[in-house]
Amino acid sequence: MLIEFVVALLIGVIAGTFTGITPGIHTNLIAILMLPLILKSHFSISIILIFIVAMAVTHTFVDFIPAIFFGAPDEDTGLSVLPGHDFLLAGQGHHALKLTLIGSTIATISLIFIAPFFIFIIPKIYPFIQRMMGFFLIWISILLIYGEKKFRIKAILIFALSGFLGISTLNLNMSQPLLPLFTGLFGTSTIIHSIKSKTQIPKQSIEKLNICKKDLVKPTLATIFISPICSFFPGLGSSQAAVIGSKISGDLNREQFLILMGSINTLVLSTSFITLFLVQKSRTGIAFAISQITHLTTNNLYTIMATVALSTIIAIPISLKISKTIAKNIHKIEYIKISILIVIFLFFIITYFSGILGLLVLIVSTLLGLTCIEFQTRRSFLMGTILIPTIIYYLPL
Amino acid sequence: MKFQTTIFVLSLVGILSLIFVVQATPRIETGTIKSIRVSNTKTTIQLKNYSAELVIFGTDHLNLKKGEAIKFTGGQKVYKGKEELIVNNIFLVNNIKNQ
Repeated sequence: MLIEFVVALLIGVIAGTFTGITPGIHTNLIAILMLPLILKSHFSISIILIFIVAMAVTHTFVDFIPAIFFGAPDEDTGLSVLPGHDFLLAGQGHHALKLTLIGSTIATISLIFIAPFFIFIIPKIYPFIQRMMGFFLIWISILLIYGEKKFRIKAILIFALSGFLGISTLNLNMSQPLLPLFTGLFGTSTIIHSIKSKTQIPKQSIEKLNICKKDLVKPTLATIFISPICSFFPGLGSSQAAVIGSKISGDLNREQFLILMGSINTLVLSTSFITLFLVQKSRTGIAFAISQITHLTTNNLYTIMATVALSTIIAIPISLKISKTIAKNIHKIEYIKISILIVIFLFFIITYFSGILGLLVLIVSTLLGLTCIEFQTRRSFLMGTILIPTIIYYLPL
Repeated sequence: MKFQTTIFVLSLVGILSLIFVVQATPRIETGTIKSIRVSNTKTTIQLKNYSAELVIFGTDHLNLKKGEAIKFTGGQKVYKGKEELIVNNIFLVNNIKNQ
C-alpha cells in the first residue's frame, strides 16, 4: 500500500511538472479532462487524491518557469510576467524563479498554522465578509488606481476596458474563458512586445540567493491573511488574491512581489481543499475534480495535507533543476524564434480548448495587453478583467 | 505614437465586437430540477437556486425528472408578476436532447 502511495505521488509530481512547464496548460484543465478516466479507474480514493494533489501542488511551483523565461503565464501567474521578465533581462531569471519557490515553500509551512484558523474562524465570519466583499474590492480598485501617479487617466481607461473585456468573456458560451483572457493580457502581449523590441536575452547568472529576512515579512503576512479568504469565496482566486495582497501589504519591491505571487499561488490551492472539506464547495478546478470523486472525510484531508508537504519537498529541487538548465542555455537560443513558436503553440492550445470564441478573446486581450504596455501603465490594471466582474457578483444590487 | 493609437483603437473595436457577440448569442444556463409540472399545453420547471420558472410550450414528452441537471437557453419575461423564462432549447447534461 505504501509503495502505491509513493508511486501515485511521484506520477503526480511528474504530471504537475509537465503541466507547469507547458505554457497555457493548467492543472484545472487536466483535472477536468482526466475526470472521466479517473472515475472509471479502479484505484482507491486515497491513491487518486494523492495523484491529483501532487500534480496540482507541483504545478504551482513549476508554472512560474514559462512565465519568467518565456513570458507565457497561466491564469494564476499572469502578474508575475513583468517582474519576472525584468529579472530575465537583467540576467537573473533563475533568481526570480527562486523567489517564487521561497514564496511557495512559505505557503506550505504557513498551512500548518493557518488551517486551524481557517477551519474555526472563517465559517463564523463568512456572512459578514460576503456582505462586505463587493465594497472591499471597490476599495482595492480605487487604491490600485490612486497609486498610479503619472498616467492615471490611462490607468482608469485600461482598468475599465479590461473590466468590459472580462464581463463579455465570462458571459460567452465558451469553455475555459480565463485561459485565453489571461494568456492574451499577460502572456502573448508580453511575447509580441519582446518580438517587436527584438529582445535579446543576456547570459543568466546562477548565483546563491541572498535575501533579507525582512523582505519575507510583508509577503508572508499578506498571503496568510488573504489566501484563505480568497480560496473560501466564489469568484476569488489566485489572481485576485495577488492584487489584494499587493495592495494591503503596502509597497512591495520586485523580490517581495514574486515571493507573494509564489506563496499565494500555492496557498490558495492548498486552502481550497480545506474549503471543500468544510462547506463542500469547490473553488478551484482541482477541488471540483475531487468533489466529483468523493465527499472528503477527515482522513482524506490529512492525506491531502501530507501530500501537499511531500510534493513541496520533491517539487523544489525539480523546479530548481529545470530553471538552472534553462537559465544556462537560454542565451544560446534565438529568443525571437522561441517566442514565435510559443505564440503559435498558445494559439493552438486555446483554439483546441476554447474554440473560435477563445481565439477571438485571445486576440482582443492581446491587443489590450499591448495597449497597456504602450501606455506605460502597470500591468496590474489589467486585473480589472477579473476584479470588475467579481465586484458585480458580490455587490448587493 | 501611431502604433499606440492603432493598437488602442483595435482593442476598443475588439471589445465592442465581443460585447456584440455576447448580446447576439443566446446564453446557455445550467440548473438542477427542483420540480416539474406538466399540463396539456406546457411544462413548467422550477430549478434549485434559480428565481425564474422555466416554461416549455408544446406537448412533447420531455422525460425529465426531479434532480436532473439541465442546460437551457431562452428569453426571460414577466407574466402575471412572476418571472418566467420561455425555453428555446433544453439539454440534459449527460445526454443531448434538443427540443
